[in-house]
Amino acid sequence: MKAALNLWFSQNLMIHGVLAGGLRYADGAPFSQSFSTAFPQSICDHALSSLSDIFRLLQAQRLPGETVRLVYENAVLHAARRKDGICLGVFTLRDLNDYDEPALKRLLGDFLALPGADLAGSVS
Amino acid sequence: MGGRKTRVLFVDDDPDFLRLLPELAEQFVGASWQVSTAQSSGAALAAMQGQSVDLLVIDIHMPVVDGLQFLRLLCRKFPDLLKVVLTGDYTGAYRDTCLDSGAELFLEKPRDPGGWQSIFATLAELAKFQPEEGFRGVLRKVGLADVLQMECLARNSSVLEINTGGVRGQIYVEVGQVVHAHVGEFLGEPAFNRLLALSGGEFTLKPFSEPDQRTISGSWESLLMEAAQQRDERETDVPIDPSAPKSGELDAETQAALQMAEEETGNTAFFRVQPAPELPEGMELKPTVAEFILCSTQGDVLYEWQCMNSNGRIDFMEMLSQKARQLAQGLPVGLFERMESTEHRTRVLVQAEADRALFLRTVYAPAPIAGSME
Repeated sequence: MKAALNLWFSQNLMIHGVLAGGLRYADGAPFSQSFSTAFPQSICDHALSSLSDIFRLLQAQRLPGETVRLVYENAVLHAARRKDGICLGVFTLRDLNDYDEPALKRLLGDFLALPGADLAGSVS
Repeated sequence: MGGRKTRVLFVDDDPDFLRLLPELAEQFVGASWQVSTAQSSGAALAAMQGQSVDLLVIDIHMPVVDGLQFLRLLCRKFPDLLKVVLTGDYTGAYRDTCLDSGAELFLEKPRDPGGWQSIFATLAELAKFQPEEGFRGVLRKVGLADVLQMECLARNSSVLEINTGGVRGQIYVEVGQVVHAHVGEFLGEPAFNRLLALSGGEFTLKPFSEPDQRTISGSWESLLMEAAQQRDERETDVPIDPSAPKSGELDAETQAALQMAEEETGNTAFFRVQPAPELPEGMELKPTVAEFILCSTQGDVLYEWQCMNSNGRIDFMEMLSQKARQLAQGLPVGLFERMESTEHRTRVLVQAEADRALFLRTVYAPAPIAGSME
């Protein structure tokens, strides 16, 4: 399933304005891709680990935690967490005009809707 | 030897005044008090981590964290502690603010030696109220949820007796776990939720005694969250009031809370952009503010609305900010400003600013589009 989801993610991450993005599986395995030298892959992996902690924090507080946006001074992390515990995070610039928002929304929606079985099937 | 000494902590930034105190105490209350002193709120808090205190006497004007801020913090962290403000700035405005902020007494610093006798006599009288078996709190002043949280965090064992109007119930806490609750014919979690939903009335914290049965086994955090959620739901499930806003309109309190949140955050879009609706024609999702808290970076509540567990929310905001900062390490994203999270029809906003933080939970419910009823 991981290989299938990684493949799906790589194919769909090429969205205008995305700086970097990644997946983090429930077992802690990361998969990230970067389109900017300012967002090295190893640092993105670390960021995904903190993102997963934030989702856990929301869950522990019984707060809504399906999609999360972390807004920083210069960038935004758009994130989603599936019921099976897999998290997705994508960094963009902060201004709405600097990235393709509808495409990003679609990516997050598809990520949440993709059934695990379909992903497993698409490996072969 | 006599019984345990009354432990009194004086907090004042005047070292000369602090130096006088042990001698004054010796003169007016003899050896029955164990007096300690601290020159700042921070030093007082540090002292309180190491030893328990029965009575705390604070000055108002102190640098960094003043007496008022400290008083509010103490109310949240140590709701059972007796607190007295002793100040040279004895004004009506300060008196009202201090008493509203949780002080039991507001006293003026004596200007002559004779005045100290009455001050110590008053403090000694107050110290007699020190609970041997428990303390009494008023639900409106110290939240039942706050006390429960303190008991659980401290891994205490106790019984909380709640009494409001004709309703009487108990919550049993054993080594920091809620093990039983009952009120009327209700037992276990339903009883717990009902008790936590009460407003007004009084509760008493008593030493632990074995309950007739054990009806609760979940974590106290989950129980408190569930109770808060049920209370919110119950509050929204009210009979139709002819003076209530018409369908499709926001009630005045929601409007006010929304407006305040928008002004605080400058984030209009978060509140006005609605989740993708799957609604019948003529209906739209209208936001209702379910919970709102604004606090200082010191953790003092500046404003709260329908927040069942202020301490829990403040702790959450602190942990979230910490995690968000960790997440940004090594990345050129700048400072963390806010988090928006959504699921189904609930949204949460946490906004972190240099001097304050805000938590807002909004629930979206279907309502006819304004003007579509004709």
